[in-house]
Amino acid sequence: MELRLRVNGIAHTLEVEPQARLLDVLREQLGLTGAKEGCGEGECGACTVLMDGLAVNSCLVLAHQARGRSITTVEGLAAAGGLDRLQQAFIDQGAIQCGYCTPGMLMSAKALLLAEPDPTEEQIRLALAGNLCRCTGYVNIIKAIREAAAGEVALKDPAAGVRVGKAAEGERGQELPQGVLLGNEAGMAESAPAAGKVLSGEGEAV
Amino acid sequence: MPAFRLVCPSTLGEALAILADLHGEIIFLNGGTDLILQLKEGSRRADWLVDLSQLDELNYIQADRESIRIGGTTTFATTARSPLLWEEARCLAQAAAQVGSTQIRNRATLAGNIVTASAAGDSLPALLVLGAEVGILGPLGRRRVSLAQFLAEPGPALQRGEFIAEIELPRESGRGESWIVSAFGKVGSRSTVTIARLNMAVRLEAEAGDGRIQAAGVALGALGKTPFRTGQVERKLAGCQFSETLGRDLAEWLTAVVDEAIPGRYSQAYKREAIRGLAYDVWGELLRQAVGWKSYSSLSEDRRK
Amino acid sequence: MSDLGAGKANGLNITSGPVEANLEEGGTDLMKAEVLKQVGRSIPMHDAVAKATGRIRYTGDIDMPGMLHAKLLLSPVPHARIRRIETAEALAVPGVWDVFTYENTPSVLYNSQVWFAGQEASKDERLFPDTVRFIGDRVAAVVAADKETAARALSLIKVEYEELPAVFEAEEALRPDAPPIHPGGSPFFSKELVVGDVRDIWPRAKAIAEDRVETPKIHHAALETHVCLAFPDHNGKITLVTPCQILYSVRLIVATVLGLPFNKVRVLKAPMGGSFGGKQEVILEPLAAFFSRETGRPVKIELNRQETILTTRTRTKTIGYVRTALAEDGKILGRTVRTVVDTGAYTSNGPIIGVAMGKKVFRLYRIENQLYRTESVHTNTPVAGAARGYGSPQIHAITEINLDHVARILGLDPVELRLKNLVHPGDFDLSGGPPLGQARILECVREGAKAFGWAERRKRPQGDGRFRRGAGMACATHSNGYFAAYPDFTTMTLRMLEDGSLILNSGIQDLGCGTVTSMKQIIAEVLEVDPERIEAPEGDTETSPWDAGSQASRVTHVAGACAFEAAVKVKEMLRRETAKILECSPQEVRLESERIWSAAKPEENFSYGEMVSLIQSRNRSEVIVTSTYRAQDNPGSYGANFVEVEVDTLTGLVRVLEVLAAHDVGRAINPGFVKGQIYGGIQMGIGYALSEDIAIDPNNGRAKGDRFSRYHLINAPDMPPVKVILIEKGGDLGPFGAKSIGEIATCPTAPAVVNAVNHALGTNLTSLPLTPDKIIQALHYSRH
Repeated sequence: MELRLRVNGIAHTLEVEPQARLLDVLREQLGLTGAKEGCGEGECGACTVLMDGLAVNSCLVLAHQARGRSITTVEGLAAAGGLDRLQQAFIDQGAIQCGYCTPGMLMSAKALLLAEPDPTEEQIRLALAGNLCRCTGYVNIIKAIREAAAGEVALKDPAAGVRVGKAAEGERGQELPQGVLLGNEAGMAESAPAAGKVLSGEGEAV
Repeated sequence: MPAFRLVCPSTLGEALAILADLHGEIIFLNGGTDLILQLKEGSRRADWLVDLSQLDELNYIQADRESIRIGGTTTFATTARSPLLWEEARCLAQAAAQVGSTQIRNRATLAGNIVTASAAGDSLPALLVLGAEVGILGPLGRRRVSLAQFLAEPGPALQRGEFIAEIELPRESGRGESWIVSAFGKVGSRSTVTIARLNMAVRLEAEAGDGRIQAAGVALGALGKTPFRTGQVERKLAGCQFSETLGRDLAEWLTAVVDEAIPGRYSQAYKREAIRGLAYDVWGELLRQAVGWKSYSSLSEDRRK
Repeated sequence: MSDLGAGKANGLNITSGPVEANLEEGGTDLMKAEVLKQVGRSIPMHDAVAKATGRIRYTGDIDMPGMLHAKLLLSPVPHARIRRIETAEALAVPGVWDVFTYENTPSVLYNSQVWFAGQEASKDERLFPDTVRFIGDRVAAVVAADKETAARALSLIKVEYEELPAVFEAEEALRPDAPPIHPGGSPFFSKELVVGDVRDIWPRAKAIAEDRVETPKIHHAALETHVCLAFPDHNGKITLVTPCQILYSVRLIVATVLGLPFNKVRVLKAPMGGSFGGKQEVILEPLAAFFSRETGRPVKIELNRQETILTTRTRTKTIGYVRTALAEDGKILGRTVRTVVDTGAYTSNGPIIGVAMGKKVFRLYRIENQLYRTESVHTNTPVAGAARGYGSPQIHAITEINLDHVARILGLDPVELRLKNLVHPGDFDLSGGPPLGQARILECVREGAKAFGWAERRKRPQGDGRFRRGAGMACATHSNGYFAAYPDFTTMTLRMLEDGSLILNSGIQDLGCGTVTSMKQIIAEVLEVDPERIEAPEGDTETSPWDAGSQASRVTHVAGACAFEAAVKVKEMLRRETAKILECSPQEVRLESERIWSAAKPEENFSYGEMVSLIQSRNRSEVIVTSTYRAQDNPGSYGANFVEVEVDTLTGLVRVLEVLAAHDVGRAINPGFVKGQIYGGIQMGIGYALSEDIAIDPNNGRAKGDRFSRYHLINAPDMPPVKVILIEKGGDLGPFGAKSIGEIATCPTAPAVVNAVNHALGTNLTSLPLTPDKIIQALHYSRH
């Protein structure tokens, strides 16, 4: 069954079994082994990738459900040859030990910073709630994300619209398709969205 | 994963048209966060999988004068950040925000939660107190049932080829000078990413003047096969004045509900206590919301002080 | 060893051997923290970039041409003789290469934890047993072209079981009428360790506390599940690529089971996606090796999470009975400790863990009268084995919870009680174990209590509302290698190349803790080079010297000391050879920042590379040294945790608000790595205290916690802030005085959390994990 999708900025047309999960196609057909299967049930987050800018468990998505979508894996996080600010912060802060959870952690962190360039610690913790780590106690991971965010925020051009980070300036990476809504999702458990958003009579388009 | 064939319609029309040609068992795939695991482990099998997850026509939260309508492919992430729902159906937005992890909420849908009808499904108590109706599409056309009725079906609530296209919440503007608040809470074995050991939603409609409760909805999950509304508690609340102390009464009444729901079960001893904590949490949240309507002091024992 | 009390605070106390002469260098003392250039730096792990970019290839990421996949059929019944296995249907599936059962695999018995030739151990495992002994035991395997085919074929194997009576709980296994799981029944091992005499202490006691403490069977929960790849060559050699902790244990067991000469088994250490003791024992390797030999193809076995929980290893479930007597002045008069160690369905190293637990009880407090007794039992449950701490988390939970109990009875502050009784630097182990070395637990407790604000937090009212607060603490000790228990030595070869870069050839296995980088830092310090100039590949049994493995908290202390010695010897050789070229004495040769010269002619100075090239061309010598280090001490590593919790008395949920960890690590080679170990150890310890439990159903032997949705690790929102204090005063024989941290890091956490909960609630909860149900039940009883 034919599947067309973009992975790390590159358009692919693949022959994919209906049963294949997105994780299987990334790892086995595209050789992108950064995403890992730590539990196969969406609990550990080691398989986290971005689908149109949102973090998803690639073990719980059939590959064909990604048709026409844009997938970003850890291998596509940075422009060729460089490192994303998050990757650099993870390295500098000692956020990486055995490294097995790292790709998933990075992708969850990336999704968070795409939606919320200046997250609180609470938001960071909530954004990582679905990513388990046995080595680090999350301490340095949280620190690294804060540091990366501080850098991103410092760099932020006030005129710019959606924050997509350093990588999006290159050809690959997180260019987001039109119409993708990036909400402040991690913070939602804590507080209602800012008041004053207009609801039209037709309701709220999503 | 056992073999199946996959159909990926891109419009609703296409989806309905295809159904006629499919023979054998059909399963509709939406967010897939439960289903894909079940298929992989072989606990569910089908000849055909129809993937609805990319039907943008069903990805909406809309409102008109009578109702709020949530499309069948709308995710929990979208539900959780809808200003409209935070305004008018807060318990649902709160429940959606507490489902699984970010990754799960980005895929899982309300419709899927309803079809799965797990005893611990977080959106279900919220939908129950909001009086949700389920809009079903299938080969024979469109039909609509209340969620309560949907969950009460002894067998599969959906006929072959049917799927949930929409969830509709009646939009009550309140009777004259009344106000409405609602809240959801859960107790799991961890503060996040946890299957509820208990969950609960409460919706109150009260008079603006003295805060007398005109109508109450109280629904509980993880206390039996399916979540349910507890009429006895709702009736007790009706007519009472909304206050901090009423929360304590609610906690007592709910303990009795637990005893009735799971008598002799191992978890009874725990849940009859824990439900009180949950009741205080939910009641505290309702009181906070009600501050906007009238001054009430908080019942919740502030854990930060 | 007799001079431990006088251990130099800043010195590597080397008293003999060729190293001593080389420590002097122009008045510079290599060991002083203020002059250290590389040791003490928190540089990133050697493969951090590869891990951050997803480029690193773990075993599961490797594909080979013609590679086959094996999938295991695990027993669905807890105890049964296999009457018949029908495999024809599975074999007929296209793509299936072979199906293996007890009928067509070696019946060689082995013990998966044996790591050196000649080691005695009870051998009760085989590739596929004809009697299955727990839900999750290996029944058969399908080897097929792909995973899907293997899984499909697996479902077509029909097994007829003749069920046998089973036993799931340790204390039931002790009953004389318990069904035997292996000949002889349980207990199959018992041992007593005694110091002084406990018989007459009880009447003299001012306070006595007696407890039964239960610790759960837990899963190591490395994010990488168990995996192994084996491939044969054209000359009958089998190569294994495996994330293992002990390369030479893999070689030993694979060669034994397959009947191969040791040099026909080559084991390569693959990147480790987490281990925590779970990959210490040899589980999948002999299977993969056998399958690859039989099929002539590369074979990969990769378990999923559920299989990893059920069929690899767990921490021993342990039941402890402790009775402690305190004198009026708060001194511990004596103590009896009895443990029942549930090692699951096979022996593995259950008995050794029971003994290891016993050794710890003599090394933390000065207790003149103490009796420890351990019994090991088999149950029809998943096999227990090594798990971070190797008995330490169990025994410290057992004894430290009890210690708070007895303090409560006497009305003594837990910190006060400990300060009165903890060991001092230079103390001996009264039970005859190796001396404790620079045991700085008193400093850990004093400094920790101060930084944590113990006194204030402990005094603060718990509250009488729904949420109650409490503060608790606990201490722990752990080992530094195998000295005095098993042969502990390591050999390494270090050479300097013609550009001044270096290669360390050793049998090290980095478990993701930073071993490779730590070795580089040690060598870089000695040789005045940048750590990046050193290549320190992990072990390969075909080319690397023997090593006892990444176990027993021995790597930094013992292997690190070997790297230190090798570097010192390379430096000595470099001096010697340079002296010939510069025509001066070796003592006149100066080395600094990768430059080398004679003190007599500082203007004539060379890069290391230039000099090595000259040494090769003129002296016809290679700068290469092979050095064997034999461990000569085994001091205690020490740590104390201070914890504040908040308990919801209605839902029974515990929130850990803050943790402070104070550890005596001798010297932190890389403080970032050391803190990383502590943070992770605390995460594991909180889970041990509150939520983690494989939870075997006593009615049917099924694991309730057999997947992550039902086995809750502490996740980011529930992880508290952690503060760390490192006591770095050196004095023992590790490199620069370094002692272990990886295992001790998790040992004090669980009892500190439990003690804090008991402080908050006024309870005496002793059954881990403290689930909400247990807490609510305890509150219920304390009210009625």
